[in-house]
Amino acid sequence: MKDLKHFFPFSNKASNLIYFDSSATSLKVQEVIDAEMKFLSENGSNPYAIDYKKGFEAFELIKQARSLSKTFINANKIEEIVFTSGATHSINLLANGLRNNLKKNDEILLTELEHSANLLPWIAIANKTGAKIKKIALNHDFTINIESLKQMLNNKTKIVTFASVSNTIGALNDIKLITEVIKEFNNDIIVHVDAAQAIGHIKTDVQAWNIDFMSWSAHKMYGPFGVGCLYGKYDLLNTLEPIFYGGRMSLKIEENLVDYTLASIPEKLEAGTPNISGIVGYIAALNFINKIDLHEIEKHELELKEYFVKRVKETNLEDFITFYNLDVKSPIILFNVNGVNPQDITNYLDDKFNISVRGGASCARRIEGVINTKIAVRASFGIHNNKVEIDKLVEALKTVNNFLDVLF
Amino acid sequence: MIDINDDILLRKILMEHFTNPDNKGIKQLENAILKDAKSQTCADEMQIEILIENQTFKAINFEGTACSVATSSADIFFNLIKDKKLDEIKTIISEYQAFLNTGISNNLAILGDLVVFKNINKQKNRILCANLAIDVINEIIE
Repeated sequence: MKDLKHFFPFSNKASNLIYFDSSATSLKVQEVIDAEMKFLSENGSNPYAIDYKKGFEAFELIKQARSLSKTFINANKIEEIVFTSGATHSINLLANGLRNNLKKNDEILLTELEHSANLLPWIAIANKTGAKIKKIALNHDFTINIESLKQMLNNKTKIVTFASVSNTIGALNDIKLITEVIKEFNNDIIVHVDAAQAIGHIKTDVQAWNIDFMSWSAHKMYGPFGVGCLYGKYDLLNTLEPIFYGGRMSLKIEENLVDYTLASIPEKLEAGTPNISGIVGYIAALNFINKIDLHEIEKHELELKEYFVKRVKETNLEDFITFYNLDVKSPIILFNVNGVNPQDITNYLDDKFNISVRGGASCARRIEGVINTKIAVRASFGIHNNKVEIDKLVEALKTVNNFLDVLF
Repeated sequence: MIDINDDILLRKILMEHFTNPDNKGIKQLENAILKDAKSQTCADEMQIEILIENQTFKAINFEGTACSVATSSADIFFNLIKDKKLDEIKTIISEYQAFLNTGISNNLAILGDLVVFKNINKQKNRILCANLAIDVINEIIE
């Protein structure tokens, strides 16, 4: 296992803290912090002020970020990349952008494992348009059940939206196969993949998968907060109605103050001044991932998961802890200490061992339909973690019955 | 009055109210009101059944899922305010909330078993848990 910890200033400055919450957000690498600081201290111009050198430089950086993103996900054109404030913004942009394409009784298919960002925008738009939300059944390993999906597809199906990797269970869907089944039935059904949880961990390839849209956030790929992207196939992206109107997205406003002409994509969907310093940090994040290599990242994280599973078995933690996803091949662990509320455990691990994990519903509000509990503890590993930290977690878990030690 | 320095005893009291609360279970009492206590910051949620007669809390029951601090604080508090008048309860809440923030009280006797939360002030995020049910009662009184 390679030592990747030194890339993260958090781990150097707070060496006694163990961060196991990469699913919520990844730690930031030095390159990202440096890039953002460099832009803010040496430039700071509006990227649309191209008449002077610094403004043009900022403009070029946006082009660079688009181009790097295109290559990173294997899109066809750079215009297919729209900058947003993150996956939540991207999915809202998509769901609301399709508002005129949806009518009463149209069907939107999704799973109960989706996090709120891939649930609420669809529920809200369904309520507005009279479309219906339908739940796709899952397999025992929490992946999408293809046979159930096939049964559900009909002439009312308009959209299928799902996470490539769920943020709680961590199940990895076979996106290519799922899309094949959908497109074989009807090529016009829109397939959207929420890649927020996957993009910094496994290779994404929108052309090989043949998906129509994909959403993600920079902050889950070692990058800054407040930056994300919506990918869309050129022609489909072009059909989206904007949800924000403002600077840079219009070409002309008529004197009658009624008519206007919008810019073409992607600018049409990017009203206002973008988070340019964040986008510069995002460039550094993409470069960092390319440098480390996604296969290396995936390998490192799976090794951590496998090691954790091995240690769980060795130490008989399953005698008093229910683990929900030890068999799932992603670096997320979901568990409950029998008879103890998750918040008591997360508080105990933090206070007594400086271990950061999450408790509760982890923004997947409908997970109870899948694992028969609304709440659980989630520990998610990242490339800054190592086996020594896993050992510390295992040792800490052995003592969880002392959770009231935080109060006495 | 319990000894606030007897940690073993305090721990036992808290644990008993968490694992086997006295007031657990909605009884569907006639004329009772139902209130939801739902945390905005975590997954804790309770439903509380309250029967007030002649400005006095006659019965309070609850069910739901919450952490040890939220569950035990609710249960201890409900025991403490049963058969008390609204103005008496107001005084207890005011003393309790000051105690949660500091761990100090000049009137420990009034707090009863709530003294088990003497160290919550060192766990600022848990003050929200220790107030989950109490906030609902406070709203009713105010």
